[in-house]
Amino acid sequence: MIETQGIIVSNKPAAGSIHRIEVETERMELSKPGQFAMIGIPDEGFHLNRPFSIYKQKENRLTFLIQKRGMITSRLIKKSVGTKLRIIGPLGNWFSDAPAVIVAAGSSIAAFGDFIGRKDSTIFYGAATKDDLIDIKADFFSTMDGSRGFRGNLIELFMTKRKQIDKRNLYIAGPAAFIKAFRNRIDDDLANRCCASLEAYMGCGFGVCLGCVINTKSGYRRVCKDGTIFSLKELLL
Amino acid sequence: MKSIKAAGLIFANPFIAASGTFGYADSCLDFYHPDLLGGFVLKGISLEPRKGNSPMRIIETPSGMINAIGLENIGIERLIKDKIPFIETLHSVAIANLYAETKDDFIELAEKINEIKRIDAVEINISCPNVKSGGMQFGVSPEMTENLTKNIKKVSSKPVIVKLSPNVTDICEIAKAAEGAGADALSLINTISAMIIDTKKMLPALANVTGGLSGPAILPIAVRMVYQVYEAVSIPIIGGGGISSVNDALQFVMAGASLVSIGTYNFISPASIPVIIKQFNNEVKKTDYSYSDLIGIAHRQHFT
Ligand SMILES: Cc1cc2nc3c(=O)[nH]c(=O)nc-3n(C[C@H](O)[C@H](O)[C@H](O)COP(=O)(O)OP(=O)(O)OC[C@H]3O[C@@H](n4cnc5c(N)ncnc54)[C@H](O)[C@@H]3O)c2cc1C
Ligand SMILES: Cc1cc2nc3c(=O)[nH]c(=O)nc-3n(C[C@H](O)[C@H](O)[C@H](O)COP(=O)(O)O)c2cc1C
Ligand code: FES
Repeated sequence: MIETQGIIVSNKPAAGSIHRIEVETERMELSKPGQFAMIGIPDEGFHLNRPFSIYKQKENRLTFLIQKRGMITSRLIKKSVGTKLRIIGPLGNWFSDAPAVIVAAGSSIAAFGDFIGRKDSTIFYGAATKDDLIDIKADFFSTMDGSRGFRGNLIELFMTKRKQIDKRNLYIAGPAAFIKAFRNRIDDDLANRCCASLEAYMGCGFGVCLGCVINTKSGYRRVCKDGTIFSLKELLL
Repeated sequence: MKSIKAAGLIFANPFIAASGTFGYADSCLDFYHPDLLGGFVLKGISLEPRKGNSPMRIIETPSGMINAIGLENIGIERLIKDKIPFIETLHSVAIANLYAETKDDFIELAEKINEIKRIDAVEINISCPNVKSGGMQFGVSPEMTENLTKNIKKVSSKPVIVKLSPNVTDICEIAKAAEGAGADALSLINTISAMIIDTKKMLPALANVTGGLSGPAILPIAVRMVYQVYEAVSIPIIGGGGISSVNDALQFVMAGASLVSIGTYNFISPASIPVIIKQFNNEVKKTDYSYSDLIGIAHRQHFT
């Protein structure tokens, strides 16, 4: 893990309110699947850095998928090439790169960049409407309005394919509410081999502020350092 | 820069990493070695491990953040077993930050710390706004501050630093009470009691309802308090609150702090303190003054 300067080398709309932002850093360790980085805009006064999954990495160049949500994401997606960023990473634990079944809604797909296009893995990917889906190869799509793939919730799409889900690892990512809804819908067999990457409001991102804890069977754990990936059955959501 | 003597200790430079923002001195290792610091204060420690408050525990605010961690910590036994062996390999000043709910527990904790050779001083946290009992309850009354400080001074074999709360009417009163009871130094300020309401949820944003505000938002309040306390007492002051640059640090020194502490900025730019230290030394050289002359110099200059 290091803190370094990054320069935006490309910033383009990817889908809906999601931008694909490429950042050339001064130096960066190689990240593993599912790891994230903290990003700040050093020239814009005090703000906490924000966590974003490292979608792709090639040496010192990191690609992020950033969805407009509040203050900092609104600014980031408007930043021009050449803007300086503060980057701390790579952070958090990671997914094993064994073949996997993946369930990702919206910008959470960014946690699975390394799995996209792999023949040994199966990806369920959903959004509100087809314009919100970034252009990737997934196996099953869902949209709430039915404009692409299954009409409705991603979890419901997944359940219609339940019989096809073999013994591969099962990975899911997203806000706690989405993961909770998923856990409440699936059977124990799936739950027992599911790993979930959680989102939490973060102060530091590297384990020191104790601001990002979630409740688990072994007490409060830091999402940024003990996670972001937890075994689903450990979580008390 | 020459080393700085304060509270019977020698600091290689005036920069201290603040409690709760530096873990157990191991969180910075990916960024720099803790020996580059003048000193560091460990995360607040209690006799028993503490679970802390339920989430949400932190929230960003204009130019700052509010935290209500609730002093989650591993407890003194695990500190000794798991963390002290690493701290023993370090050379900068190591300060333990003590938290307890009762006077007797504070005393027991101070006695346990006596056994740890590598801890150079204790900072007593009578100013945490995020716990139901203990903490700030001691720090808002001059009598309780005096009584507790006296009792800890009696048993502690280490220099005792009292960390003051800004959540008081007159911080000088508390500062004098601590000095009168034998405190070797004062540390100020701890976070300022604050809250944010989430207007979408129509609820306080933090589960604890209130928390402690830190970061640049509190800097001018902290500078004012250091300035006033410097006039009220003669023991050294560790000044901090919102420091993120050389200029910020210099303000505290000129207000009267012998040492400065950096907290929240460790979250934002964790590799920065050594960079700030270097720039700070250069800035001090550029003035016509020695570092010790700069301490409190704002009190001695005249408006023209
Ligand atoms: C490990 C991790 C990886 C992430 N990866 C991505 C990614 O690849 N792409 C992406 O677009 N987003 C990702 N996110 C989410 C992203 O970090 C947030 O959208 C971002 O921090 C919002 O910042 P903002 O300044 O725009 O919003 P703010 O102005 O800070 O917040 C807007 C609103 O959202 C709330 N909020 C913000 N963050 C959270 C949170 N984590 N949990 C609950 N409430 C919250 C705030 O309280 C506020 O009400 C990730 C989050 C985590 C923890
Ligand atoms: C997340 C967090 C945890 C903290 N924990 C402690 C603590 O355990 N003990 C203590 O005395 N102060 C604690 N503090 C207060 C800081 O040490 C410091 O006094 C305060 O944040 C003001 O400085 P800053 O603005 O540079 O952060 C904590 C602050 C933060 C932000
Ligand atoms: S965000 Fe600071 S500990 Fe996780």
